[in-house]
Amino acid sequence: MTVPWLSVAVAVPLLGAALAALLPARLTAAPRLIALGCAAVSALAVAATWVRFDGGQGMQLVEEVEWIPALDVAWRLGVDGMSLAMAALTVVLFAVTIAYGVGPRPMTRAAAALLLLLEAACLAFFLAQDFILFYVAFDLTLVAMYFLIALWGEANRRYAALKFFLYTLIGSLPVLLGIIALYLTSEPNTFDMTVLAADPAVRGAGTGATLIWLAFFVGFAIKTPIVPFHTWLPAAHVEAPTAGSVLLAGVLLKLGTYGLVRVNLQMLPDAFARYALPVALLGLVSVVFGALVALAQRDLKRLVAYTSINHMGYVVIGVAAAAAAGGASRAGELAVDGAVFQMVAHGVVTAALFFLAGFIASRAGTRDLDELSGLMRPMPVYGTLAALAFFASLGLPGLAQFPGELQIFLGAFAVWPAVAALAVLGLVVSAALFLRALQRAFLGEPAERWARLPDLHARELVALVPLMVLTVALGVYPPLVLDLIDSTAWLAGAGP
Amino acid sequence: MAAWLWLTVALPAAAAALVALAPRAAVRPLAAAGAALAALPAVVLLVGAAGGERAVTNVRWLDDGALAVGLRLDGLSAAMAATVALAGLAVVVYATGYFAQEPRARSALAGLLAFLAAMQGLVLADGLLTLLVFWEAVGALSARLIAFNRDDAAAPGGAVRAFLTTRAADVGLYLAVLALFAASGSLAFEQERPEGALGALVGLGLVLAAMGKSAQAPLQTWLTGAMAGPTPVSALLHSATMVAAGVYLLVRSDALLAGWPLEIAGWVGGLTAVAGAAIALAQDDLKRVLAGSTSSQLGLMFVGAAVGGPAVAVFHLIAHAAGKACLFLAAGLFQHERGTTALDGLAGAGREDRSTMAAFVVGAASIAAVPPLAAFWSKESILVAAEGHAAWLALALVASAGSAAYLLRPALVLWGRGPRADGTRAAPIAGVRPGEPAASARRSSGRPAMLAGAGALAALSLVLGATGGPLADLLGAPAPEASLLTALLSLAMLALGIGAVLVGPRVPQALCTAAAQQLYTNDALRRLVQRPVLVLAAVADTGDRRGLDAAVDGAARGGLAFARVMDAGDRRGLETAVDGAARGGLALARASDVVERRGVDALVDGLARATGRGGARLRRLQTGRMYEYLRDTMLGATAVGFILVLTALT
Repeated sequence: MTVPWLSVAVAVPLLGAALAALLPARLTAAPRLIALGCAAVSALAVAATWVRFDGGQGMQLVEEVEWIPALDVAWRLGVDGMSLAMAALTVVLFAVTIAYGVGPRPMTRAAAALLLLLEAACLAFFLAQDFILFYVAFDLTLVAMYFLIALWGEANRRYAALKFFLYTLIGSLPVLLGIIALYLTSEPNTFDMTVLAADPAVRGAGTGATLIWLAFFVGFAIKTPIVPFHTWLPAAHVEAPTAGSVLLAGVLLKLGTYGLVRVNLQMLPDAFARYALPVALLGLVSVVFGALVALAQRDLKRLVAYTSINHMGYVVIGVAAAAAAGGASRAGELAVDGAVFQMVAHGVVTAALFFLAGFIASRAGTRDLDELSGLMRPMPVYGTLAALAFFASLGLPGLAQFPGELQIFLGAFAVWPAVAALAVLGLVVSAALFLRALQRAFLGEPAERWARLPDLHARELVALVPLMVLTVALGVYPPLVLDLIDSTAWLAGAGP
Repeated sequence: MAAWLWLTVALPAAAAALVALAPRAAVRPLAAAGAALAALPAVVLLVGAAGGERAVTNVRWLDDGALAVGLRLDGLSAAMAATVALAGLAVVVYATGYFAQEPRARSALAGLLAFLAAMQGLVLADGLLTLLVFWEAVGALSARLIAFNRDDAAAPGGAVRAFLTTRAADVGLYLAVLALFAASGSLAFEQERPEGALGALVGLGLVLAAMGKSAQAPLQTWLTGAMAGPTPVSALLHSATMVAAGVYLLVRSDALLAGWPLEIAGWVGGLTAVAGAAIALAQDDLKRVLAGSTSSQLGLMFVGAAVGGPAVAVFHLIAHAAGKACLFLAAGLFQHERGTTALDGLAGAGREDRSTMAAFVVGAASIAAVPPLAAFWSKESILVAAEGHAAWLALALVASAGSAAYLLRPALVLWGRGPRADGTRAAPIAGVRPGEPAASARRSSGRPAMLAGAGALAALSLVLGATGGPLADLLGAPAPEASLLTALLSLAMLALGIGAVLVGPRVPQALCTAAAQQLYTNDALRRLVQRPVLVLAAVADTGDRRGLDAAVDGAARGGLAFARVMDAGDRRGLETAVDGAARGGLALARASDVVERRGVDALVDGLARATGRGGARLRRLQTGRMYEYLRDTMLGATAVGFILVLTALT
């Protein structure tokens, strides 16, 4: 009997969420155990999938159960290299986040239920091969994240949570319209994403195709976010609890770029090819603008939030370059492989950065880089890991973000040399902002009140160290994940 | 040989890891042993390369076959690896003494060993991708080591400036890599520069990156800031090896840089040689003098690479590595005795410590090109090669005179009887607290190792002059020439430099201030780059908060206001309408009731009455008159026909 590992990966956290929510309140330790257990099962299921995955086959291990046969809606899960890489990122980040926890301790029933619901939704999104499931998962992530921010965020959490919810909900409506349009144009009508990707129903870049493409693009651009649709992000990050920021930046932003690749690139290749340059320019604006605004920040969390915009800008440029060059060309493949690798790397590194920002805020009561000083001395472990994460985030070779960024640059340069060359300048601004942060808050003499800050404790190390190990591993030997990503058939249905 | 290649990189890395984890007592012996062991494979490579062995080893890295990382053995890489390993060994041994009293010796020694691993990767790199990886790695390690000294308020700033300046210049390396890959699909060193704009990007990019790493004007100021690092770090990274990576890049990519890019490098080098010498003359801190000198000497190597090719440039690189590292190590010994490297504080230090002074003099004499020491011969080969290029030759000669002067000046101070340092003007130094009675306590533990390191490099400075020929053989280049004319010119410049210091001519104050201020390049970089970028960042931030975000919030508020209006409309309009409708309905019902009672009932009753009355009247129709019946039939038929026509029309 073959175990439907993908369904297990999604269903177990979902059932765990229900179980945690229905527990009697007196079992105070149970929610945390349930959350950890379900996250572990999910991680094992994804690991088992990785073992069974055959790098030569494109979309595979599809699990399908009829749901609404009349509309050809089904519970369809499947993996290709990109799906599996994103699912792996998801289970890792949820495991460390659940280990760290959110809200009051011990973990409440609500916290466990919401984290597990969010994990199930994210996994369902990355594994879905059915557009209805895809859309339901996309919106469920909003609900779960809304409550994570609104319940356990900081002072201004209501505002930020609502802003996040409304902005991205507005973004998800055109996605729904796009899905319906794709359904209606496919022949026979289907929500099966594998079919729609293998043989795109909408060809050319006429008005209809453009509108459908635009509907998806707007939704995913808000989620990613691409400048100028990004303003929900800093607010959400600053107000979110540490675990919320970690998951928001580490996993939820990738929903946007994953959608760009899965839908806009694979199902609407001609329309994307036509609008690739404007998209790349928006990506370039994200890169430069994100880095510059980050340079001006004093709040460490806000700074990291803007670097996320910068880094997701590289991903957007990579995807756009692949759309222009064709995912089957050498440049296109380099660019889109690099973009997906960057999604994974950014997930790991930025999760680490948000943990680091949370750790210092919980000790010092502030994340203001101008107030903090000399942290390296009272907290050498914290300082060293922070420096490592900073250097990873500024794209130092040997750490996680370099391979993806370089591949994006190499691929994009072949298509638009000027865009790639200007994007490289983003590297210098990133270097400047992280080095300035190091100099202001970490090096030099600590102020009196910081001189006795305790260094990281076990629970924090459990959350952070796996991410740092991955940061080094991905940077030193990128084929670990790059081979997996490379096995994706980017344009299965590419025309002649 | 492939295994030896990987070992050359892996052994120092492993040693660094061991040192980082070792118990405190084992740290220093382990570091020295690690550096010694790590030098072994480099020596094997050198011997192999001298015997004609060549090797390349690659591992798949990114998802394109041309983007593998790999190491290579050839004459150039073997010569560089041996230089790095031996300089590294001398400096690490020295550092075990220098950091004897330092509580964080582990961190510094592990950092030096990790740097050695990255530097070996850089010089053994097979192709620009691998070079880029290690190039950036040494930059980051350099910043970490500069920031090591916690008692020096200038250290963090120096580290940040060093990293950012070189990183900014590295944009050139990135662009060169992108352009080369786009043009040829390969990042190998041995290829022609592509045509057109891509070729221009490759040439300019590589030269820019080399300028940044090798502290060439106008980017040289980071090197002065880097002097905030511990002295062994300055010796190994910021004089002997890492800063020489720029020269190595020019030499390694000479096929890509042939023609105008090397011409640019030659001019940059010649001008920096003079500018660095002027800056060195104006500094009042020994390490800063040596930093200026390093820029100047690297400039000479740029000239050498431009006119004489690899053998000439690398010859001077090796001679300079030994001599300059020796000078730094001697400076560190004085620093331990006086607690400072400020020239004021070092007066007479050499007379008290003559063995260190001897090492200093040997290093200085070599760098100042006193025959028959090493750098005399290597500089001579540069001058000979530059004979056909009068401007560069002139610049190199001026720099020669400068080098004699800027080294004689501190040597005289060291030998002279100046006031002893009280430590108040001194920049604090790792392992040495200002004002501590340092000498006696330190001599017992750290001094032998320190003297050993400095002595070894002094000895090398004496003999390395003989390596020019073998090195040229190794690199497959013609042996370096000497010519009587340039030798005489060189000696004349030496005399001129010495004479200038002894006579002490009046130099215009403006010139002195300019040289002391790094020829204002620091100010220029701050005004032209740093400040505009920060202002731009602030503007972008404000635009984001007050512009975009406010617009979104405004839109949301607008939406909310609209909703309120709708709500109000709902209450006052729709609701009243509904209420009104309900009231209307009620009224209608009541009205119906009234109508029912008074109307319908009355109507029915009325109808009945009317029917009765109608019947009574209709009785009158039956008149029995034929013409009246006919008239009535005609009227009825017309009415029916009218109705039929109407129906047909609609």
